[in-house]
Amino acid sequence: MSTSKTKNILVIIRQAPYSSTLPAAALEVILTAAAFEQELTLLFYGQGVLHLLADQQTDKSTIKNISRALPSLELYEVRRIIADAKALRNNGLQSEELLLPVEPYSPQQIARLIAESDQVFNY
Amino acid sequence: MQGFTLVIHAAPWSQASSTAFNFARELLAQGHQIYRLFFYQDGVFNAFSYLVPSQDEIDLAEQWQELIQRHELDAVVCVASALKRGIIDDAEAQRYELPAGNLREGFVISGLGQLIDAVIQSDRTLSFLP
Repeated sequence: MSTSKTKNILVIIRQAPYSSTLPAAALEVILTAAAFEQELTLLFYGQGVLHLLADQQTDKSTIKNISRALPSLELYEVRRIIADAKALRNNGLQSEELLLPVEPYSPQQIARLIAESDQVFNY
Repeated sequence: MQGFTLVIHAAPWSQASSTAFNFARELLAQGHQIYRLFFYQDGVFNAFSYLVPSQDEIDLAEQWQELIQRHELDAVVCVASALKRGIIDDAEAQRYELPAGNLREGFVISGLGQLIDAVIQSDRTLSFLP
């Protein structure tokens, strides 16, 4: 579907991995919006930062693991991938443990990001 | 002015669906346009025609249907969410060799592209999560 309009879309993943199907829904929204050539930003917030942990062994989980799909987001031209810096710290996540490079944002930067977005999907 | 899109993530027995419904009704009462209603995840249960709530309960799914039909609203049900919850129209019933469709009249099954189209076209898109 062609459209002349482009919007800044921010998708926030707040739920921990394997807690619900919302993170998978977030990923579906991201991939669909990418097909519509929208300006996309993905923010991992709170417990959502745990999706970023590399080498997750998920064979025993019945809930879909989205982590495997995350490194390919660059191919879909997701403009920015951002993580809640405070949550990274609280969960003891070091940048070398993450499965893709992210920009750590302070609460103030996150507030600005939300304010500047045309559309926010909060999952 | 393309108006509002509401994304309903909650089943009819959840407060969030009720909030979305009241919001939609009030938008229309105040003369605003609704570009689309998008039923996503458990929100697809609002489009399920086999729900039989107790007599002393409000049938929110029926109220959604009545609002949609009266105002001829575009009410889209996410196909992936619907299929995984057993909500199908007659075409899907045929494709998967299931006995019958069970989608309420007034709703249509379509893809997530309809959500992104709505975000692009609408003035505002609001999500209602449980």
